[in-house]
Amino acid sequence: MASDVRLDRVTKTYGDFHAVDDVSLHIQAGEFMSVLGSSGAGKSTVLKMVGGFELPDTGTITIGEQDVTFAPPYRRDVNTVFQSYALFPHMTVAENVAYGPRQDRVSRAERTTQVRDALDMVQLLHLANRKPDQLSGGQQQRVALARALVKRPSVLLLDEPLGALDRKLRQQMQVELKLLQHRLELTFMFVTHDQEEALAMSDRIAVMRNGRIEQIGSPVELYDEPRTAYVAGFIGSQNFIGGTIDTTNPEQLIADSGAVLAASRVAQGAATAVRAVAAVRPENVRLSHEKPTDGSNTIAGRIVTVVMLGDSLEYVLVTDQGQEYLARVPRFGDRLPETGEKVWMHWPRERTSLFSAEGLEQQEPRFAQDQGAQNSRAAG
Amino acid sequence: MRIRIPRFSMAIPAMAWWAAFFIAPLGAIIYFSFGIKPSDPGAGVVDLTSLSFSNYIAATSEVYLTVFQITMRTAGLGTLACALVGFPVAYVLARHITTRWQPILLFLLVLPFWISFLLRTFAWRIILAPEGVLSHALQDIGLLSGPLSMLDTNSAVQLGIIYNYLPLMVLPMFVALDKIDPALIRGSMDLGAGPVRTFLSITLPLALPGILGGMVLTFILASGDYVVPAILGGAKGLMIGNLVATQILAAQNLPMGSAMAVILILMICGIVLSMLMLLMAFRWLLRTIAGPAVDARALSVAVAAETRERT
Amino acid sequence: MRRPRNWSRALLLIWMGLVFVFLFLPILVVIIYSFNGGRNLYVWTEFSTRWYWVAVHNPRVVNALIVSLQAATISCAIAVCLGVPAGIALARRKGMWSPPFMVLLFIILGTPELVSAIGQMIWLDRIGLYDGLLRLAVGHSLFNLAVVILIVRARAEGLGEALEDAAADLGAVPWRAFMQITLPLMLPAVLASVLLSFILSFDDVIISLFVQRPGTSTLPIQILSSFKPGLKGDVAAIVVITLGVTLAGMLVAALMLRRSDKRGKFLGGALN
Ligand SMILES: Nc1ncnc2c1ncn2[C@@H]1O[C@H](COP(=O)(O)OP(=O)(O)O)[C@@H](O)[C@H]1O
Ligand SMILES: [Mg+2]
Repeated sequence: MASDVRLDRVTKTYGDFHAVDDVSLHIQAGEFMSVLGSSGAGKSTVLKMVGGFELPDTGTITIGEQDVTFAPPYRRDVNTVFQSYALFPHMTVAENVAYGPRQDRVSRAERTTQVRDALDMVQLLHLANRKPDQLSGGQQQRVALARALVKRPSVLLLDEPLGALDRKLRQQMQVELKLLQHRLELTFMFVTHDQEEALAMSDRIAVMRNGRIEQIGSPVELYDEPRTAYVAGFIGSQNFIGGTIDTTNPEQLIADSGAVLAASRVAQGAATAVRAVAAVRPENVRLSHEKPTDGSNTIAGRIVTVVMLGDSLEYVLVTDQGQEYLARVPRFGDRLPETGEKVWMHWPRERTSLFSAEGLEQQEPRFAQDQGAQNSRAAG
Repeated sequence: MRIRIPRFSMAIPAMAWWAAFFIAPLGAIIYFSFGIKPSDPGAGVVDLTSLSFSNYIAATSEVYLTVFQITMRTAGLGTLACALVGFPVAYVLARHITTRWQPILLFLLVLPFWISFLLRTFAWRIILAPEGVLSHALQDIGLLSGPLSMLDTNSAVQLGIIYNYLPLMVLPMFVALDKIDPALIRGSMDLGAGPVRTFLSITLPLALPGILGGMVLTFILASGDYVVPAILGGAKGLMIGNLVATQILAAQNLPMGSAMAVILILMICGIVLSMLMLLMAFRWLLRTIAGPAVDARALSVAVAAETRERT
Repeated sequence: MRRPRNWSRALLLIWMGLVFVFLFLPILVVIIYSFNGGRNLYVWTEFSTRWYWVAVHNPRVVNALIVSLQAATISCAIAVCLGVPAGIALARRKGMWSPPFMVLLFIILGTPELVSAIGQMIWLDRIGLYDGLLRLAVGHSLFNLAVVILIVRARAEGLGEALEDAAADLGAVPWRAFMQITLPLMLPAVLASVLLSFILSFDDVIISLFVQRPGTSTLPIQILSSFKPGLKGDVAAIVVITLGVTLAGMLVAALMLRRSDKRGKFLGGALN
């Protein structure tokens, strides 16, 4: 049966480096929880401590009713799908899957049934007698999954299990994993650095940065109400306009260019921050040739590139000060501006949030992260 | 017109060199081993007019056979001891040492190997000397009633062999263990196997080729050793190496020495082969004790059915 | 719940410590006792460097040292001149020929030195090579050649052909690409293999014992022969002097290998 997992103020240091810093996290029984963060954020370390491969310096970890903080891996009712799969190279697929039941001294007849069912579940029964190095990456991934699931753990840990697969296979596996989790009613703790993947699969997401949890919430919450600029930028794509908070009106930002931007959401800490940013998502930005007069936020810029995304176009604009911004505009409607034209970007105050600028410098470059644009470019 | 240069042309000088100074001498040994030592000292070192097995017959007489036996035993026990003493070291180095210390310790480990063999062996003469510090200390605490009398016996040779070849044994074992992905160990524990079972079912089978390689290497070198018995063995701690050297350098009996060298090679081949078989048997034993993972028959029925469905 | 203690790890670490003590204590003992001023080497009396004076004023020791250095230099030169091209060929010009060549190489590495030494002695007499120094150099070169080939091959394989391809792409003709790109990158491995084979040759006993001619004894042979009439401190002093020579070479070689290879690769990864 599925169990809940509770991490209470868990810290792990290597030397004097805080890999995991005061992390508390409660995963409900049967929940699909993703741990999302860029490389080095401490995601794997958290997972290893739940799996029992690393021991925390302080804090406690509970699975179901049981305190497992210092229990060895083989005494925990969890199983792991490893990033590198960790299939035993000297054993066949069937022997790999049978390894777990065997440790529990399940009878051979029973074991055989379990192996057959597990391999059947991942549609690999026909390859039962192959060695791991005779399988493709996707097949190896499924064996790793079958091997972890055959023991019916109450919690399944997955460390970037789809990272090595190509995009098509990855999307297919995302759906299958989700279905499997529903069917088996298991608790999933899923580590990934891919925000799209996390958004698509999770019940809730914990965003990690520098060993700390930045925010926990459902995909919708994280997307619509990010608590920090880092989360706002990490989930989906985001335009950030730097400046300082208006001293007379904390719901306004004086941008570096002098423009005044009004916001409806002011994140905690923004009002007192030395530097602040206004954030607006590209899909909320509209373009027009005339400066709008309805009181919405505006910035002038020149179009340098247009990227075709299918149902919409993504414009890359540069302001006179040299800042780059994105606007994602539906392809249907008024006359669409073209490359080289000077236009006004505008968006309503309701779509604007203000954040403290702290943590933004850690953001990966916007273009690298904006996978929608990248993929459509690759596809085109 | 283009002249095709063979792909191995750059290796030709090396091949020629080895052919001239390694393969030819090997042939010469075999050829000489069938000759006899001329009775007239003026007639050269060997008489090859009538080839016979007489040297082989003489070299397998009881006196010599005993030395062959002692050599194989000393080398075999030495190899085993090196493996047993060295494995934990290789294991710690591969598993429990941080990447910062690992290269330093590895360097220290190979350091003695590059220090003169003579020096390392010689050291034991000082340590084991009957009038030396160790001898006195052992007598003082009452472990020995008389002076330490280990020097110039087979046990001193045994000790010297173990000491000299230990680093050579640890290194291949370390490489084998280091190559094992730590995730495999985690995987095993994750699936419920404790440290002992993980060691027996994952670590040991994967490291076995490396352990075997190290043992073969150590055994070959130890069984052909000359320096250790010459320095530590005295008259009682003879090994084949000394016997052959005596035959050739002192008795000037080249054909006999050659025959003994050939026998040495054959014996090493034989022992290495049986070591290989022993380790295969060991591997088989590990698997058999564990028993089959699944009911192969029942599974193959299911697999066949599934395969048929797919095609 | 209590944090478990890792007893097995502690025990293993202690074991490793003991083994390291076992490995280094004897070496330390020789060094200490070489400064023993007493007439009997085994019984410590007083600190003194007198045996070093005795050793370096012994013309036979000095002569042997010179022979050793000369023989090591020549055999090194042979091994490098023949081994570098062969090692590169093994990495870059693989073909039907390479597996048998590797087999031969491992046979040479695996043949007991004693057997090889006897063969040398018989053969060198047969072909009439009686120059003592050359006999030593040739005898030492066989094993050294194998070592050089292995190190150079490992390095050349590590380099891959991408760099030469890139050079070619930028307009370098093959020999220029080789001279300007490949060779400089190979240099640390080559130098390391030079030093290693120098040490191997310098320390060799068995081959030297069989192929030597009167008047061209190497230092190890000189040491070995002085065991017979009882041991005095000068032997310990000579042994420590050879240790100094070896250690100097060792350190340079280790630094070279560190620069040219990844951590923990002994003999440039030749054993992997
Ligand atoms: N065994 C270790 N020793 C030292 N530092 C480590 C160790 N394991 C992880 N780290 C460090 O801890 C940080 C977090 O690592 P990890 O949890 O693997 O990150 P993630 O999985 O989020 O990419 C990284 O900066 C990493 O360098
Ligand atoms: Mg990770």
